[in-house]
Amino acid sequence: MNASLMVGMAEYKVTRTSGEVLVALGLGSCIGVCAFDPTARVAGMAHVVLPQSAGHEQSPGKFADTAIPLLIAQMVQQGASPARLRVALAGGAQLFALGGSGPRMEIGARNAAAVQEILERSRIPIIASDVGGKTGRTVHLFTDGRVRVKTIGQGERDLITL
Amino acid sequence: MTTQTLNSMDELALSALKEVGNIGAGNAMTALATMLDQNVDMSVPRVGIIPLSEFALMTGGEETISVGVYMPVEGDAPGHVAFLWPEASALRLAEQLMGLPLGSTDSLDEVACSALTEVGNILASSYLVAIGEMTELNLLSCPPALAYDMTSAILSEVAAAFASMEDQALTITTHIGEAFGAVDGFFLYIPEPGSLKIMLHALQLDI
Repeated sequence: MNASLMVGMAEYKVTRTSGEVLVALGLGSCIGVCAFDPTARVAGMAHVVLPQSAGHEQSPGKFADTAIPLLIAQMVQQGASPARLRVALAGGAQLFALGGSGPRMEIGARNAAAVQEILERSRIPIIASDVGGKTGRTVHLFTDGRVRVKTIGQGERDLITL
Repeated sequence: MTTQTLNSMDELALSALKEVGNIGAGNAMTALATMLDQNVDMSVPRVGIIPLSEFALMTGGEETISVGVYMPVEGDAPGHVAFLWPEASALRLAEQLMGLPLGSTDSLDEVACSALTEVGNILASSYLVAIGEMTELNLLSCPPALAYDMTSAILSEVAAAFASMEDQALTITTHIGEAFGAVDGFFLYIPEPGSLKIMLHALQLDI
Protein backbone atom coordinates (compact mmCIF):
# COMPACT_ATOMS: atom_id res chain seq x y z
CA MET A 1 0.00 0.00 0.00
CA ASN A 2 1.41 3.35 -1.05
CA ALA A 3 1.17 6.33 1.29
CA SER A 4 -0.39 9.27 -0.53
CA LEU A 5 1.01 12.76 -0.22
CA MET A 6 -1.74 15.12 -1.32
CA VAL A 7 -0.57 18.09 -3.34
CA GLY A 8 -3.39 20.64 -3.03
CA MET A 9 -3.94 23.68 -5.21
CA ALA A 10 -0.92 26.02 -5.10
CA GLU A 11 1.21 23.47 -3.24
CA TYR A 12 4.39 21.65 -4.28
CA LYS A 13 5.90 18.62 -2.58
CA VAL A 14 9.00 16.49 -2.97
CA THR A 15 9.71 12.95 -1.77
CA ARG A 16 12.40 10.31 -2.09
CA THR A 17 10.78 7.90 0.31
CA SER A 18 10.09 4.62 -1.40
CA GLY A 19 6.41 3.67 -1.31
CA GLU A 20 5.14 7.24 -1.16
CA VAL A 21 3.05 8.64 -3.97
CA LEU A 22 2.40 12.27 -4.83
CA VAL A 23 -1.23 12.95 -5.76
CA ALA A 24 -2.99 15.95 -7.28
CA LEU A 25 -6.72 15.29 -7.10
CA GLY A 26 -9.20 16.62 -9.58
CA LEU A 27 -7.15 18.85 -11.82
CA GLY A 28 -9.41 21.05 -13.93
CA SER A 29 -7.66 24.02 -15.48
CA CYS A 30 -4.78 23.49 -13.02
CA ILE A 31 -1.68 21.56 -14.07
CA GLY A 32 0.07 18.80 -12.17
CA VAL A 33 3.78 19.15 -12.97
CA CYS A 34 5.43 15.78 -12.23
CA ALA A 35 9.24 15.89 -12.10
CA PHE A 36 11.59 12.96 -11.51
CA ASP A 37 15.30 12.31 -11.31
CA PRO A 38 15.66 8.59 -12.19
CA THR A 39 19.20 8.35 -10.83
CA ALA A 40 18.67 10.02 -7.46
CA ARG A 41 15.07 8.74 -7.31
CA VAL A 42 13.69 12.08 -6.23
CA ALA A 43 10.08 12.81 -7.17
CA GLY A 44 8.39 16.20 -7.07
CA MET A 45 5.01 17.56 -7.97
CA ALA A 46 3.62 21.10 -8.28
CA HIS A 47 -0.11 21.87 -8.51
CA VAL A 48 -0.06 25.04 -10.62
CA VAL A 49 -3.23 27.16 -10.66
CA LEU A 50 -2.36 30.17 -12.83
CA PRO A 51 0.28 31.03 -15.43
CA GLN A 52 1.93 34.26 -14.23
CA SER A 53 2.66 35.65 -10.78
CA ALA A 54 2.91 39.20 -12.21
CA GLY A 55 4.61 40.54 -9.11
CA HIS A 56 2.53 38.65 -6.50
CA GLU A 57 4.83 37.50 -3.74
CA GLN A 58 2.37 35.52 -1.67
CA SER A 59 1.91 31.81 -2.35
CA PRO A 60 4.50 31.33 -5.10
CA GLY A 61 3.29 27.73 -5.50
CA LYS A 62 0.20 29.03 -7.26
CA PHE A 63 1.87 30.35 -10.39
CA ALA A 64 3.79 28.47 -13.10
CA ASP A 65 6.63 31.00 -13.24
CA THR A 66 7.33 30.86 -9.51
CA ALA A 67 6.27 27.31 -8.59
CA ILE A 68 8.49 25.44 -11.06
CA PRO A 69 11.81 27.03 -9.98
CA LEU A 70 10.87 26.37 -6.33
CA LEU A 71 10.00 22.76 -7.09
CA ILE A 72 13.32 22.25 -8.87
CA ALA A 73 15.24 23.91 -6.03
CA GLN A 74 13.61 21.66 -3.45
CA MET A 75 14.34 18.57 -5.54
CA VAL A 76 17.99 19.61 -5.87
CA GLN A 77 18.12 20.03 -2.10
CA GLN A 78 17.04 16.39 -1.79
CA GLY A 79 19.78 15.24 -4.14
CA ALA A 80 18.32 15.63 -7.63
CA SER A 81 20.30 17.13 -10.49
CA PRO A 82 18.50 19.63 -12.77
CA ALA A 83 20.23 18.07 -15.79
CA ARG A 84 18.66 14.67 -15.03
CA LEU A 85 15.12 15.88 -14.39
CA ARG A 86 12.35 14.53 -16.58
CA VAL A 87 8.84 15.93 -16.52
CA ALA A 88 5.30 14.79 -17.28
CA LEU A 89 2.29 17.12 -17.31
CA ALA A 90 -1.40 16.51 -16.67
CA GLY A 91 -4.35 18.91 -16.49
CA GLY A 92 -4.96 22.23 -18.22
CA ALA A 93 -8.51 21.35 -19.27
CA GLN A 94 -11.55 23.53 -19.57
CA LEU A 95 -14.44 21.84 -17.80
CA PHE A 96 -16.92 24.66 -18.04
CA ALA A 97 -17.22 24.44 -21.77
CA LEU A 98 -20.95 24.31 -22.36
CA GLY A 99 -23.04 27.43 -22.44
CA GLY A 100 -21.90 30.86 -21.39
CA SER A 101 -18.94 32.33 -19.65
CA GLY A 102 -16.92 29.80 -17.68
CA PRO A 103 -14.51 30.86 -15.01
CA ARG A 104 -11.62 32.58 -16.76
CA MET A 105 -11.90 31.06 -20.19
CA GLU A 106 -8.79 29.49 -21.65
CA ILE A 107 -7.01 29.43 -18.31
CA GLY A 108 -6.09 25.78 -18.82
CA ALA A 109 -4.44 26.44 -22.19
CA ARG A 110 -2.61 29.46 -20.80
CA ASN A 111 -1.38 27.39 -17.87
CA ALA A 112 -0.07 24.70 -20.22
CA ALA A 113 1.73 27.23 -22.40
CA ALA A 114 3.35 28.92 -19.40
CA VAL A 115 4.51 25.62 -17.86
CA GLN A 116 5.99 24.47 -21.18
CA GLU A 117 7.82 27.75 -21.70
CA ILE A 118 9.36 27.75 -18.23
CA LEU A 119 10.52 24.14 -18.54
CA GLU A 120 11.98 24.83 -21.96
CA ARG A 121 13.87 27.81 -20.60
CA SER A 122 15.21 25.63 -17.78
CA ARG A 123 16.17 22.95 -20.36
CA ILE A 124 14.08 20.30 -18.65
CA PRO A 125 12.50 17.87 -21.11
CA ILE A 126 8.76 17.15 -21.06
CA ILE A 127 8.63 13.41 -21.71
CA ALA A 128 4.87 13.03 -21.77
CA SER A 129 1.85 15.23 -21.38
CA ASP A 130 -1.86 14.72 -21.05
CA VAL A 131 -3.17 18.29 -21.17
CA GLY A 132 -6.12 20.22 -22.58
CA GLY A 133 -9.53 18.87 -23.48
CA LYS A 134 -12.67 19.13 -21.39
CA THR A 135 -12.13 16.52 -18.69
CA GLY A 136 -10.78 16.67 -15.17
CA ARG A 137 -7.81 14.50 -14.21
CA THR A 138 -6.23 13.06 -11.10
CA VAL A 139 -2.49 12.46 -11.40
CA HIS A 140 -0.24 10.17 -9.33
CA LEU A 141 3.58 10.22 -9.35
CA PHE A 142 5.23 7.20 -7.72
CA THR A 143 8.81 7.17 -6.40
CA ASP A 144 9.80 4.77 -9.18
CA GLY A 145 8.92 7.50 -11.71
CA ARG A 146 5.61 6.01 -12.77
CA VAL A 147 2.92 8.56 -13.70
CA ARG A 148 -0.72 7.48 -13.60
CA VAL A 149 -3.60 9.60 -14.85
CA LYS A 150 -7.24 9.05 -14.00
CA THR A 151 -10.16 10.57 -15.87
CA ILE A 152 -13.88 9.93 -15.49
CA GLY A 153 -14.39 8.70 -19.05
CA GLN A 154 -11.28 6.57 -19.48
CA GLY A 155 -10.54 5.30 -15.99
CA GLU A 156 -6.98 5.00 -14.75
CA ARG A 157 -3.98 4.47 -17.01
CA ASP A 158 -0.18 4.70 -16.88
CA LEU A 159 0.93 7.78 -18.79
CA ILE A 160 4.65 7.05 -18.66
CA THR A 161 7.53 6.01 -16.42
CA LEU A 162 9.88 8.98 -16.12
CA MET B 1 -6.44 44.59 2.68
CA THR B 2 -8.46 41.68 1.47
CA THR B 3 -7.07 38.79 3.47
CA GLN B 4 -7.06 41.02 6.49
CA THR B 5 -10.72 41.86 5.94
CA LEU B 6 -11.55 38.17 6.03
CA ASN B 7 -9.60 37.50 9.18
CA SER B 8 -10.87 40.51 11.08
CA MET B 9 -14.51 39.66 10.60
CA ASP B 10 -16.37 39.35 13.84
CA GLU B 11 -19.24 37.13 14.88
CA LEU B 12 -21.80 39.76 14.00
CA ALA B 13 -20.50 40.10 10.45
CA LEU B 14 -20.40 36.34 10.01
CA SER B 15 -23.95 35.92 11.22
CA ALA B 16 -25.05 38.72 8.89
CA LEU B 17 -23.45 36.85 5.99
CA LYS B 18 -25.13 33.66 7.12
CA GLU B 19 -28.41 35.54 6.95
CA VAL B 20 -27.52 36.78 3.46
CA GLY B 21 -26.99 33.16 2.42
CA ASN B 22 -30.22 32.14 4.13
CA ILE B 23 -32.34 34.74 2.37
CA GLY B 24 -30.73 34.04 -1.00
CA ALA B 25 -31.02 30.27 -0.74
CA GLY B 26 -34.57 30.54 0.60
CA ASN B 27 -35.65 32.42 -2.48
CA ALA B 28 -33.81 30.02 -4.78
CA MET B 29 -35.38 27.01 -3.09
CA THR B 30 -38.83 28.50 -3.54
CA ALA B 31 -38.06 28.80 -7.25
CA LEU B 32 -36.87 25.17 -7.37
CA ALA B 33 -39.93 23.95 -5.46
CA THR B 34 -42.19 25.74 -7.93
CA MET B 35 -40.33 24.23 -10.87
CA LEU B 36 -40.56 20.71 -9.44
CA ASP B 37 -43.94 21.19 -7.77
CA GLN B 38 -42.46 19.62 -4.62
CA ASN B 39 -41.22 20.67 -1.23
CA VAL B 40 -37.53 21.45 -1.05
CA ASP B 41 -35.50 21.68 2.15
CA MET B 42 -32.31 23.54 2.84
CA SER B 43 -29.74 23.62 5.62
CA VAL B 44 -28.63 26.67 7.57
CA PRO B 45 -25.83 28.10 5.43
CA ARG B 46 -22.27 27.48 6.45
CA VAL B 47 -20.01 30.50 6.26
CA GLY B 48 -16.33 29.71 6.14
CA ILE B 49 -13.01 31.01 4.99
CA ILE B 50 -11.53 28.28 2.86
CA PRO B 51 -7.87 28.19 1.81
CA LEU B 52 -7.21 27.53 -1.84
CA SER B 53 -5.40 24.26 -1.09
CA GLU B 54 -8.56 22.85 0.50
CA PHE B 55 -11.14 24.30 -1.84
CA ALA B 56 -11.36 21.29 -4.09
CA LEU B 57 -12.15 19.09 -1.09
CA MET B 58 -14.79 21.26 0.54
CA THR B 59 -17.81 19.12 -0.22
CA GLY B 60 -15.96 15.95 0.68
CA GLY B 61 -16.66 14.33 -2.67
CA GLU B 62 -13.12 14.17 -3.95
CA GLU B 63 -13.43 11.81 -6.87
CA THR B 64 -17.18 11.52 -7.09
CA ILE B 65 -18.87 12.83 -10.23
CA SER B 66 -20.94 15.99 -10.09
CA VAL B 67 -22.62 18.50 -12.30
CA GLY B 68 -21.61 22.08 -11.64
CA VAL B 69 -23.21 25.25 -12.94
CA TYR B 70 -21.12 28.37 -12.53
CA MET B 71 -21.96 32.03 -12.99
CA PRO B 72 -19.84 35.08 -12.37
CA VAL B 73 -21.69 37.83 -10.49
CA GLU B 74 -21.32 41.42 -11.63
CA GLY B 75 -22.77 44.72 -10.49
CA ASP B 76 -22.22 46.56 -7.21
CA ALA B 77 -20.61 43.60 -5.44
CA PRO B 78 -18.87 41.14 -7.82
CA GLY B 79 -18.44 37.51 -6.90
CA HIS B 80 -19.20 33.96 -7.99
CA VAL B 81 -22.19 31.65 -7.71
CA ALA B 82 -22.04 27.92 -8.31
CA PHE B 83 -24.32 24.93 -7.86
CA LEU B 84 -23.07 21.45 -7.42
CA TRP B 85 -25.21 18.34 -7.77
CA PRO B 86 -23.84 14.84 -7.32
CA GLU B 87 -24.41 12.90 -10.54
CA ALA B 88 -27.34 10.83 -9.22
CA SER B 89 -29.15 13.95 -8.04
CA ALA B 90 -28.52 15.74 -11.31
CA LEU B 91 -30.02 12.78 -13.18
CA ARG B 92 -33.14 12.74 -10.99
CA LEU B 93 -33.50 16.52 -11.28
CA ALA B 94 -33.21 16.38 -15.07
CA GLU B 95 -35.75 13.53 -15.23
CA GLN B 96 -38.24 15.52 -13.19
CA LEU B 97 -37.73 18.58 -15.35
CA MET B 98 -38.23 16.63 -18.56
CA GLY B 99 -41.17 14.60 -17.27
CA LEU B 100 -39.35 11.26 -17.47
CA PRO B 101 -39.88 8.44 -14.96
CA LEU B 102 -37.47 8.70 -12.01
CA GLY B 103 -34.48 6.44 -12.46
CA SER B 104 -34.97 6.02 -16.20
CA THR B 105 -31.68 7.63 -17.27
CA ASP B 106 -28.08 6.90 -16.30
CA SER B 107 -26.21 9.67 -18.07
CA LEU B 108 -26.88 13.26 -19.00
CA ASP B 109 -27.32 14.12 -22.65
CA GLU B 110 -27.11 17.57 -24.19
CA VAL B 111 -30.78 18.34 -23.58
CA ALA B 112 -30.50 17.36 -19.91
CA CYS B 113 -27.36 19.47 -19.49
CA SER B 114 -29.04 22.42 -21.08
CA ALA B 115 -32.06 22.01 -18.77
CA LEU B 116 -29.76 21.90 -15.73
CA THR B 117 -27.89 24.98 -16.94
CA GLU B 118 -31.20 26.79 -17.11
CA VAL B 119 -32.16 25.62 -13.62
CA GLY B 120 -28.83 26.97 -12.39
CA ASN B 121 -29.56 30.25 -14.07
CA ILE B 122 -33.01 30.59 -12.50
CA LEU B 123 -31.78 29.60 -9.03
CA ALA B 124 -28.82 31.97 -9.18
CA SER B 125 -31.02 34.85 -10.27
CA SER B 126 -33.49 34.16 -7.43
CA TYR B 127 -30.58 33.97 -4.98
CA LEU B 128 -29.11 37.26 -6.14
CA VAL B 129 -32.46 39.08 -6.32
CA ALA B 130 -33.11 38.24 -2.67
CA ILE B 131 -29.66 39.40 -1.60
CA GLY B 132 -30.06 42.51 -3.75
CA GLU B 133 -33.33 43.40 -2.04
CA MET B 134 -31.86 42.84 1.39
CA THR B 135 -28.76 44.95 0.75
CA GLU B 136 -30.18 47.33 -1.85
CA LEU B 137 -27.28 46.41 -4.09
CA ASN B 138 -27.51 45.67 -7.77
CA LEU B 139 -26.23 42.13 -8.42
CA LEU B 140 -26.33 40.53 -11.86
CA SER B 141 -25.48 36.99 -12.83
CA CYS B 142 -23.66 36.44 -16.12
CA PRO B 143 -24.65 33.58 -18.47
CA PRO B 144 -24.09 30.16 -16.85
CA ALA B 145 -21.65 27.45 -17.88
CA LEU B 146 -21.94 23.77 -17.01
CA ALA B 147 -19.37 21.13 -16.16
CA TYR B 148 -20.03 17.38 -15.76
CA ASP B 149 -16.94 15.79 -14.22
CA MET B 150 -15.01 15.00 -11.00
CA THR B 151 -16.33 17.08 -8.10
CA SER B 152 -12.90 18.26 -7.04
CA ALA B 153 -11.98 19.26 -10.60
CA ILE B 154 -15.15 21.34 -10.90
CA LEU B 155 -14.51 23.06 -7.57
CA SER B 156 -10.88 23.74 -8.42
CA GLU B 157 -11.87 25.35 -11.70
CA VAL B 158 -14.32 27.58 -9.82
CA ALA B 159 -11.50 28.43 -7.40
CA ALA B 160 -9.22 29.38 -10.30
CA ALA B 161 -11.68 32.21 -10.96
CA PHE B 162 -10.73 34.02 -7.76
CA ALA B 163 -7.24 32.61 -7.26
CA SER B 164 -5.39 35.38 -9.07
CA MET B 165 -6.08 37.74 -6.21
CA GLU B 166 -6.65 35.55 -3.21
CA ASP B 167 -5.26 32.54 -1.40
CA GLN B 168 -8.51 31.95 0.42
CA ALA B 169 -12.15 32.77 -0.07
CA LEU B 170 -15.14 33.38 2.09
CA THR B 171 -17.68 30.85 0.96
CA ILE B 172 -21.33 30.67 1.88
CA THR B 173 -22.48 27.10 1.36
CA THR B 174 -26.06 25.86 1.58
CA HIS B 175 -27.02 22.25 1.34
CA ILE B 176 -30.28 21.72 -0.55
CA GLY B 177 -32.50 18.69 -0.74
CA GLU B 178 -36.06 17.61 -1.11
CA ALA B 179 -38.41 15.30 0.69
CA PHE B 180 -37.58 12.20 -1.37
CA GLY B 181 -33.85 12.75 -1.24
CA ALA B 182 -33.75 12.74 -5.00
CA VAL B 183 -32.31 16.19 -5.37
CA ASP B 184 -29.41 16.83 -3.10
CA GLY B 185 -26.87 19.49 -3.85
CA PHE B 186 -24.75 22.40 -2.78
CA PHE B 187 -25.10 26.07 -3.44
CA LEU B 188 -21.92 28.14 -3.19
CA TYR B 189 -21.75 31.89 -3.03
CA ILE B 190 -18.33 33.49 -3.05
CA PRO B 191 -18.38 37.28 -2.83
CA GLU B 192 -15.08 38.90 -3.77
CA PRO B 193 -13.30 40.31 -0.71
CA GLY B 194 -13.91 43.90 -1.85
CA SER B 195 -17.58 43.01 -2.21
CA LEU B 196 -17.76 41.70 1.35
CA LYS B 197 -17.01 45.16 2.62
CA ILE B 198 -19.62 46.70 0.34
CA MET B 199 -22.19 44.13 1.41
CA LEU B 200 -21.53 44.51 5.13
CA HIS B 201 -21.60 48.28 4.72
CA ALA B 202 -24.99 47.99 3.00
CA LEU B 203 -26.14 46.01 6.05
CA GLN B 204 -24.76 48.78 8.27
CA LEU B 205 -22.08 46.55 9.66
CA ASP B 206 -18.82 48.27 8.89
CA ILE B 207 -15.65 46.34 9.44
